[in-house]
Amino acid sequence: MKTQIVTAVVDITQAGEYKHFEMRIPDNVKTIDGVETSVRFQSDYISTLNDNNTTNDNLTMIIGDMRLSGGKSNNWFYAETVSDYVALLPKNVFYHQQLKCSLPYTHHKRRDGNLCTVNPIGTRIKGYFKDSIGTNLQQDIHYSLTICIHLSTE
Amino acid sequence: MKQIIKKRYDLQITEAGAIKREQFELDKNVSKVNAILLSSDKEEQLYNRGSQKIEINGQEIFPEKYESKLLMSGLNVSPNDRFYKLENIAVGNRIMKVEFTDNNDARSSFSAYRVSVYLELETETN
Repeated sequence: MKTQIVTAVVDITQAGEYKHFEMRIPDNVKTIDGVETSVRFQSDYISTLNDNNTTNDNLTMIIGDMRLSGGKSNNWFYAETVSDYVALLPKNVFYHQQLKCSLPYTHHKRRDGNLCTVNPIGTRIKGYFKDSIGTNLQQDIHYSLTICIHLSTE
Repeated sequence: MKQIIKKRYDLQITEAGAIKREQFELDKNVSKVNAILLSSDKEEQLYNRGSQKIEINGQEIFPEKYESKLLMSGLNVSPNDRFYKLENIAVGNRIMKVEFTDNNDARSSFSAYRVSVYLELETETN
């Protein structure tokens, strides 16, 4: 049995945008083992959040909601509220606070992908993503969401 | 006798938006690749901007656009849990190919950085 990862990238440009996507998986997939998501921001507005950051911690925001379908016994087999860091505490402030805050890439706890054990129907995983961060900030935020699905194949 | 060792392979990223392709040869006595970890001398660059495709022995382990942050672990993680476990990877020709892409991200502007790929390897010694 081998493991494989397939990825899809969803581009969001408008507040409240609702986007459908589809991912092709090989026809020899036995199970879907897990899902990971990651966000990359293109919008300059996000960098202004860092400039104005006066909190004592990194700013995490809910980016949006994602659902996946294509499971054999449960068609809609995965749901996630995607969140990510939008403003990281500047490094000089980090040191002045004597390591009290935690930057995600130095002190974050172990990151585990969301596990699931699902037998897929067919060779397509469909899903949708609905933007929340743009709605909450009342701005059109341009970002891309990468969805990685971990598969076990024969 | 079997031993578990950790080896590091570096790539230098010197240009914004660059795609850097490198090939690394694993030692001849490596019998298994157990796990992988990514790190950098400028971790915020790797965290926000990096993605890579990694192949070992012609087998794709991580596809294009698989983001680097998903393979990074923080200091709060126990050293024994930091690595991402790989299973059923045949060492074969002992070649690891890395295709690293630097992507624009509003959270970090580009400055040259080093990407380090750490592998946990099993070796056979006589």
